[in-house]
Amino acid sequence: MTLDADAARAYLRRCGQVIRRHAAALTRLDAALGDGDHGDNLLIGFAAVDDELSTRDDDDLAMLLSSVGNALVTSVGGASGPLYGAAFIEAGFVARHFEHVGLAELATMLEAAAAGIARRGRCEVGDKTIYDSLAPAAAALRAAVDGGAGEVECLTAMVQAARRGMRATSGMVARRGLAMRLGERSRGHRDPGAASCFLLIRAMIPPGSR
Amino acid sequence: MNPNRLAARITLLEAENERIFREAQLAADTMFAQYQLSQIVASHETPHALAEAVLDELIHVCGARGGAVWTTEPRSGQAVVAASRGTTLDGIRFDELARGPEVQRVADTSWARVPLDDGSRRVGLLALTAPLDRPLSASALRFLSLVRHELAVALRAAQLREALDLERAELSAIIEGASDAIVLVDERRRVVRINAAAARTLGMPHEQLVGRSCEAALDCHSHRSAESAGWPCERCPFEQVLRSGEAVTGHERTLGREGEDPVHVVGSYTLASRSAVGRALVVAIFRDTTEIAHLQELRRGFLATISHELRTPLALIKGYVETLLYLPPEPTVARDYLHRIDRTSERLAGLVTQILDVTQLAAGELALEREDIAPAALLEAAADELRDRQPRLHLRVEVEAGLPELNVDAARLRQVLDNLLANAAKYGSPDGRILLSARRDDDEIVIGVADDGIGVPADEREMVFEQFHRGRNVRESHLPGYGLGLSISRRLVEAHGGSLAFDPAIVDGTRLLLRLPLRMPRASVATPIAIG
Repeated sequence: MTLDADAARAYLRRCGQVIRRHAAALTRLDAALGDGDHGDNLLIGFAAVDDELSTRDDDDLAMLLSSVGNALVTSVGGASGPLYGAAFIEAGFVARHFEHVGLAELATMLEAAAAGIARRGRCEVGDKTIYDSLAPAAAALRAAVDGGAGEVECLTAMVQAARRGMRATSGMVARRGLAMRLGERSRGHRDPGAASCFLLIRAMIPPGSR
Repeated sequence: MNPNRLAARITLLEAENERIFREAQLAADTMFAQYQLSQIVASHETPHALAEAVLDELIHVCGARGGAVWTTEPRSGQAVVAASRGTTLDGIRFDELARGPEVQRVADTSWARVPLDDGSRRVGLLALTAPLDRPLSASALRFLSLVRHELAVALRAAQLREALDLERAELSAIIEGASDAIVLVDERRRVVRINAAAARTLGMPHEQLVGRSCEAALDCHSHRSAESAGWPCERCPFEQVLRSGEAVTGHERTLGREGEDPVHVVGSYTLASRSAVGRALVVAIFRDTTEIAHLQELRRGFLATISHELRTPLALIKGYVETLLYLPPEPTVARDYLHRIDRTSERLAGLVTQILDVTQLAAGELALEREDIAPAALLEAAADELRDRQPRLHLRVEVEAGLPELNVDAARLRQVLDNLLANAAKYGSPDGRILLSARRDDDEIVIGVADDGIGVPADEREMVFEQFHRGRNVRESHLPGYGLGLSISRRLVEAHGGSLAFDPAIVDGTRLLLRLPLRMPRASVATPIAIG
């Protein structure tokens, strides 16, 4: 597998499509826990990403991810923009020295993205956030790569870990974000951030290859 | 350029690039933390909840071990702990901690203090404790400086909101708990708020009254039709207050209630508020004076009757005495006069005793001295005394065999029986018959006093139990009496937990039924009754 600027552009466009398809569902999830605008916010964010992609045709993956991250930070009003923005910016920053981005490099980028979100959101696994999908996905990808698994197995392990992480948020009590004010009442609802993060991770595998 | 120097230069630039990137990300992190704190501030209402949520977030964001938030009570100016985490606050002197305007580490302690000023006053103080192994970071202190004003303003707003809620709740409790009816009417004379007493007085549920016009809610139309004079809306006190802004007090009126007796009220009407755009509220407070008016009427009647009843025998006595003093008659006539004075004095003494009884019953001061007594003994003793006084009467006593004993105040019950028997003798036919009986009816003893006399007209059988009321046939008969005996008797029987009423089955003559429970209620002190 090779992740170059073109592949990244294709991935980011798939992200926009996925968000458009699931925006209503994400907003419904957010209505139970937050202020009911997660899907709408991501629609705005990934529309800005699409605009950014249409103006950039360079081959620099790091710069591409960095500019996409900034587009998310500056366009989204809610918490998801600065958090996803941090993830893309951090992933881009570690990618700047990579001559070639394969599975191992992707794992490093995903780890940097997760660390960026954890730092910005001051969250950890179990807080019922985006991080609950992203952290296990990064760890699963790293473990699969280190174990010598093939591309399909690696990416499948990553997506499955993200899905498990997302599902686990239903049983959690929110410790970060607006849902925190609900306390125990936040239990029983899937976190919208974890759900959107799972969708963005799953979009790394092109539909035909799943 | 020398390749080594070039490599070194590139490394240096890389490091610089990394440093700039990290600084930019940290600045973004700080902004995000501020954004999250703003969301927390916006989603907590009370000062206490706000202080707790903010403290948790700041401990998290600043990497603190614990901390506390003190708020300054708006009324007293006293500092109180609104929230604390991870610290017992032992040895913390608030005064020392609060001194100074800036965010700073407190010398020789692990505390960092953050005064919360909203621009005009000290709203509170936030203090965080550093982890055991290091002081709070400079970036944490910087962050605290950035957010402290917003926190102070939010805390102050929450305090004001809480004070307002409290005041609103207090006012609501006062209004709802008031026994007077309170009605708020707007500038279009629509009812906008009423209290529970108003709903009771107007005899309609709250939701049906709010939104109605005041004349519909207060039933002014039927009021107008019920009284010949009435008063048109132009003279309505609500309208007067809205027009002039002047309060109207002591306004008396009747409030009609569908299917119920109208109530007489005294109302005061005051302008509660008026806005620049013409909105206005008038508050009316109605005191139900129906009972007071009734009592006043009774009192007037009582005084008039008493003075009449006292003055008549006194005038008689005075007349005889003056005759005896200044126009000494024949000894036989003088003796007759003295007998008349004696009888009249006795009547007066009897009246005074009855008035004292009424007064005692009215004040609820009657204490019963209960004892066990056989009904037969009670009835026979009363009958014997009447027979002694009026030997020609046909008085018969019938007591059912095997009646249990009564636990009563025998003297008071005798008073009742004497009174009923005296009435039977007085209003019975000249050679009439009186039957005094006792029987058991379930868990009651029923004592009957029956005569074949003039009886009491059916429509007056309840009224004769009221003070000073005498049946019209009795009044026409000119037989002496004050109209107090039955009223006193009924109160005495009721004090025993029993009842006294006419037997409705008897049309010719009179039969009074005195029912006494065999098991006496615990509380058996006469309830106060109204005398004039």
